[in-house]
Amino acid sequence: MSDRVEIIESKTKESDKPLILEGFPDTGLVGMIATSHLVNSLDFEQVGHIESTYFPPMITVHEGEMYEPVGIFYRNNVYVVTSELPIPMQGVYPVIHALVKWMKGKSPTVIFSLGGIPEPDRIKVDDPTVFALPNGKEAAEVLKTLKGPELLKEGFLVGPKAMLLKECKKIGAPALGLFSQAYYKYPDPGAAAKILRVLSAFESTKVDVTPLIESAEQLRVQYRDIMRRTEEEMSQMEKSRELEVPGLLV
Amino acid sequence: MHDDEFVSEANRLEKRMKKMSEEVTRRIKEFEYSSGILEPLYEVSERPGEVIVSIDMPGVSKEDVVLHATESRLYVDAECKRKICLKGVRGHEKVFTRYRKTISLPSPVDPDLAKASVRNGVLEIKLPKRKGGVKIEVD
Repeated sequence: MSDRVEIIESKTKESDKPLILEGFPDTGLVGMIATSHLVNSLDFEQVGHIESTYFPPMITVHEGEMYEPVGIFYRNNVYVVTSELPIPMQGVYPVIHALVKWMKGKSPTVIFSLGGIPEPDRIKVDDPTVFALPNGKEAAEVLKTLKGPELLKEGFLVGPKAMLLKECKKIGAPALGLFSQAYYKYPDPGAAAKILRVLSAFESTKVDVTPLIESAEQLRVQYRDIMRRTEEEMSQMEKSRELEVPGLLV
Repeated sequence: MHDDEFVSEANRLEKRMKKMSEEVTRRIKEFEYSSGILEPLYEVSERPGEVIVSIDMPGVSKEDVVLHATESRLYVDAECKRKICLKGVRGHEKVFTRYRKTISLPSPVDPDLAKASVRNGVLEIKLPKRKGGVKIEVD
């Protein structure tokens, strides 16, 4: 395995300027829950996975079949990269670097990085706000077509999603971060549903979020273990900086 | 201490921390599956004058919660009326009916003045910090 990260496409799909969605576990597991719901509800097909020595040596077993914990899925000109595993601190740069290179190779219309942004008063928020951060003009044009998101004007972004937006900008790939207000340490299906409602602007990512809302309690319990492990990695990355105010640009 | 010694010591500490964390996780899972009691996710934060504890207990209503606090600890036990069924190890289903957790508080509090509320299965407890010490006037 060169560079300790390998993007493996087991099935080749003919895509034309596809959308690419990334949903690695992060704040409230928002991106992971959203992409997982999308993949399962719309019957996406697994077409690849990411192998890396930065990930623990493991496979996922579901109904007697083996699956990769970090999978690449495809349907109707949309790729989804989703994962059971948070990217460990030391793997963020190499994994994101390899992933972004692969994404750019697909000549995407836009790459969406989906996640949560910690909201200390989330308990009082019934309808979480989705914040958006485009990494350039092309992504800003895509943002104009979406209903709901507010531009993320100030603050810090920390972790794989920040690196993905930065790496994409570096190599000229349009990327748009969508981050819903979410619980920092608790799985947040409500925040994930809000992100999916924003993505329903595209016919190919339109999905019914009612089952997600109805099964929210079950999912919150089911995802506790992934949340615990994700929180460990987030604390190593100084993720709480997202609650701080930048000082350099005033 | 030389640089290489420092790096090796840091690596040793990191490995030890990871091992301890794995051990804690394993014990939590063993306890949960043997007892049918879930250990909830929780968060403790400090604000001026109070300690705030939030506990994620999906499926729990306020009448199901039993809370006890001392100056330094909080104990929560809650029955989950809607039974939670999880596929456990090797696909065997396991039913969970309770949450239970003891939480150490970062500052001494006055438990008599604590207030608690539940919203969407998230329990929030606000515990005023115990007033102590004397005020010092600045000349």
